[in-house]
Amino acid sequence: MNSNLLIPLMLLATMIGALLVLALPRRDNDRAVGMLAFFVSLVPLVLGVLMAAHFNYEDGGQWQEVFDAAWIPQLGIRFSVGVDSISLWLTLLTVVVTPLCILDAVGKVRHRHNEFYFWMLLMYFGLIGMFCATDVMLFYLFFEFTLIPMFFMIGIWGGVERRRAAGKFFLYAFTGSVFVLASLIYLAWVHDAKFGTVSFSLSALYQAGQSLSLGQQCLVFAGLLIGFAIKVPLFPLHTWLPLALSESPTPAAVMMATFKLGAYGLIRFALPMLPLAVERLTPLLAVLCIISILYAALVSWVQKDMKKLIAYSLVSHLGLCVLAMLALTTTGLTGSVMIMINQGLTVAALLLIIGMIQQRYGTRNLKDVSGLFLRLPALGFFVGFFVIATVAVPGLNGFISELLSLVGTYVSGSSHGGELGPRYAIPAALGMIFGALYMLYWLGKVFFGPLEEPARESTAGSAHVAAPPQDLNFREWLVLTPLAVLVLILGLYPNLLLRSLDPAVQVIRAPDVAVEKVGSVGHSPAMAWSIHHKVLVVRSPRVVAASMR
Amino acid sequence: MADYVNTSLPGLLPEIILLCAAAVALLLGLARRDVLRRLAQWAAVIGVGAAFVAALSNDVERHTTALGTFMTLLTCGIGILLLFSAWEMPFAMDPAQTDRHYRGEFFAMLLCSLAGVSMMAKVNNLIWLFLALELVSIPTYIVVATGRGQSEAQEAGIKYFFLGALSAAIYLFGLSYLYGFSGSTRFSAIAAAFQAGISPHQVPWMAIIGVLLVLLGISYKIAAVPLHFYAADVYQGAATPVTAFLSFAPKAAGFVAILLLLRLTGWHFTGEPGSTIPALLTVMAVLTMTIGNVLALLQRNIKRMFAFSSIAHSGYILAALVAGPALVAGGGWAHDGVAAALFYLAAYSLMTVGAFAALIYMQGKADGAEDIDDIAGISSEHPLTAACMAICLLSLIGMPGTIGFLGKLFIVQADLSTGHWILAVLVVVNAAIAAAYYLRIIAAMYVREPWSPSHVRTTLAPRFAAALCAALVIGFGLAPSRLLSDVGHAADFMVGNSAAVHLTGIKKAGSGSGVWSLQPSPVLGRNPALVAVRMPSPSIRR
Repeated sequence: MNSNLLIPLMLLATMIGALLVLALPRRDNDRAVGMLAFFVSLVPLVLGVLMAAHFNYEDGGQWQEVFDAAWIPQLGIRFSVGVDSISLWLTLLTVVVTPLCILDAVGKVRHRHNEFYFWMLLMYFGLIGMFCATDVMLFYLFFEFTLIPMFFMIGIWGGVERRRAAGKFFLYAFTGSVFVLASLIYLAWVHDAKFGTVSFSLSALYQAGQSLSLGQQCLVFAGLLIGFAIKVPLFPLHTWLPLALSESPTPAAVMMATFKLGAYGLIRFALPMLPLAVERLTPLLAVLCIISILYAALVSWVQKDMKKLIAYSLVSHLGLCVLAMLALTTTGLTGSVMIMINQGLTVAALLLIIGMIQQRYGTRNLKDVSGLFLRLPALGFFVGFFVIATVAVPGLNGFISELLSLVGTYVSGSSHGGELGPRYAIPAALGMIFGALYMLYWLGKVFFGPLEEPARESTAGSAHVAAPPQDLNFREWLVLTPLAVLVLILGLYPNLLLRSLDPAVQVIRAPDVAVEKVGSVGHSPAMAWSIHHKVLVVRSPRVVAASMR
Repeated sequence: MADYVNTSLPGLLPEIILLCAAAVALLLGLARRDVLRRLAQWAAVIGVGAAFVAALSNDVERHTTALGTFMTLLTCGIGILLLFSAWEMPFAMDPAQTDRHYRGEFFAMLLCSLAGVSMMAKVNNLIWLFLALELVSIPTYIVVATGRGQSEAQEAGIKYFFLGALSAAIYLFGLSYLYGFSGSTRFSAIAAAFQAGISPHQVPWMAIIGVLLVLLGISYKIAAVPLHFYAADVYQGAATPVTAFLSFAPKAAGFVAILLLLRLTGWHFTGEPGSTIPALLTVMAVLTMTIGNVLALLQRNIKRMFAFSSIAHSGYILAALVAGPALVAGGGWAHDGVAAALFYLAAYSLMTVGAFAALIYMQGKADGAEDIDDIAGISSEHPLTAACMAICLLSLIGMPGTIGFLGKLFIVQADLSTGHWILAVLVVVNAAIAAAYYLRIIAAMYVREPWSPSHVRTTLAPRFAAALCAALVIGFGLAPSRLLSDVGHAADFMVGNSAAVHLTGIKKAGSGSGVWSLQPSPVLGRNPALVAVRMPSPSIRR
């Protein structure tokens, strides 16, 4: 099999699967359609594992498994997909978590089953495409596309305030992303004007972005930032997330929380494209990140709704993720990507668990339940496990990513490059301590202490009124175990990630060394990329200026 | 200078077919027997189809122009969709009435109007410019007033007619200035007069006032600020198929008229009087899209919402026109405001007609659903129609993968690349505002529970039209190459023959205002031919 077709096959499988699911005759329960969706979702997992096996980790900074075809030649838009090591890991995260989400949802969807799995698979489609796109317009297409399934999933199967939540989610994200679009179009035009080719390939836009002056870079950066900061979300723009997350059905919430679209956008586009602007604006943004970390951690502490607690903790962690990114040190950037992956795993597990609690007790309120460890020991074990992973206890995956992020921020500004330093790292570390406090508080409140369960009447499932809630069933074990195993593996053997991320991070970090492509008109991104790693023909003004000094 | 718009008789074949079909439909509508009267709409559809084929087989080089062919194809394509949406229209006028003797008339009027739109792009004379626009408008006055047996329709008809007559007067008044300026009604003579006026860097105020008055008159047709006030009442009052028609025909004709007019001026605007035109267009674009979107946000009646949204979309197209034409024929998409405008016109027509067709189907015989609550939860009953409507609305929002996205992309690109970045940002902001109210309709259809029983027409024709539109919206959104090349040719026509536009290279220009300006060609030396230079963003050219 031609390995280049792996990614298109993934996309094709999810799309066909989605249509298949929609076409399936309606039943009165969702088991058949849910299992079909689950098996469809395993296809990209298999392909993803193949891809991971085939991937050359030594060259992780280059696009591999590239598939490239002309799409709209008049605009220079190409259908080109591929993975470098950052994309590879995020794609793998997607293909691991999404099937588990679907498996968890089976049997819990009350109405409009076919539609639900249809949107789930479309979301899956959009996420894979987004992480793998190497043409910027293609990226944007998938990036925007993910809004549609999410909107419907929140709006149709969400909580009481689902309509407001869905609308707010969509409008926030859409508003942000139109600015991203304007910035990207501007960059493409700059490339056209300066280098004479119309192209939206990543390398072309890197080149265009880096050739701009500081003022222009700042403007473009502002456009990208509006979109990606809403998506991340960063402090003043985070208000949609708690509402959207707490109102969405569990699988949608997991999809929303696990995949860091905004952070990915920043690290993939903003950082390498606009080095001057990043350098200039770093202190300002870092302050926003610090506010995100501390403020969200404190707010999280007083939440009564478990999902909102997770939502704010997410804001807090993503603040650290972006902060570490902005540190512009190798350590920091690696830590940042590791947060995207590791935090994604644990937050997925925690949200799934909260969904399980809610299904058993019909409530997510911290006040209503207590001491559940006595009733649900297996669930309690998993909660404890993932909470410990989240609060960065050594040996589990959260530790290494947060450590790297904090260290990366701390050493930034010295000989390692970057602008930040201890004065940013220390408040961030404080935020992580708060994080440990509220997570452990939540664990203690809900799972330890005397057993307190809500009155039987309040439980939703009237069929099981008499029986006390059961511990994990087989399928729930099946959902949580892989996540726990991955958390353990990545915690004990982080080198797996670290080593392969390093080359990719170098590309992000030092884009000016990686200026490529002289007179190479119409190269496929793959070629452009390979050129820009081997031949350093042109140096950006920044490097030239530095060397002249 | 040669006459550049060649309107030979074979070139007008599509329009002739349309008018013949209109006559046939009219006659069939007068027939005694019901069976024959039913044939009227078939005659209309066959006529439009035949015109489409005739336009396809037209020899672009000899008989007509690329713009003419493109507009005819667009008109006939959209026309068929509109006819299908209006299929049950004569029954809907009054369900109780058994004698439906005006059935033929209705379709005949639509065909006349379509013929006007199609002809618009082929005229080469001020008189014809006026007559073509009136051929579009007068039938619409009739169908607005008679399309629905309710007093609202008559009110809408009266408003539309009187204001339309007023705008036609303004339009004609402006044309008289152009005649006074050039001494001829022929386009070639007027273009030459502008050309002569340009050489000493001075076009007289008289000509500019003429252009401004014509623009003002046309702004009624395209429902642009400041003559947009009628839109909401008329759109709401008219029967929904008529509303769908109004959102296409007058707008398409109006924009073509603007294009032809600006082409006469050679897109050369500089100095004191000339620069008022781009300035006016810019202000109109900004106000039109912003006012349209903000007011649409406040509506709960779907047809009023669409009225304001159609105002907003006119604003986007004006924003594209501000960017001006490409400097050379085939000069690439990034700079071509005319191509962006034409593409958006096609995109807008397709998605709006699709949304209206779905709405017509949902409204049922009683022409009922107008409030947004009326279509709440309709997706469970009519999943296909709701999906078509949702696709068209997502395209109107500008979601990627749809034709609406590409349309916005081109507009933003054209504005950015000609230095109008504030305009580009405003387009983008407006797209975000627009998302809110389109999304409200989608949310109503999918997210809310049904709360009123929906009445649905028995015929499948509007549903077919909606499905076709949705398929095309996605099809062209994902594979636009063919449409792009057609639009590109049409836009090249706008610049290709235009008086003395020779690209001799972009020269560094003094001011960064980004408006069109003139400079003596460095290559041609003393040659009076001048170069139109649109300023690139000054900072780029450092």
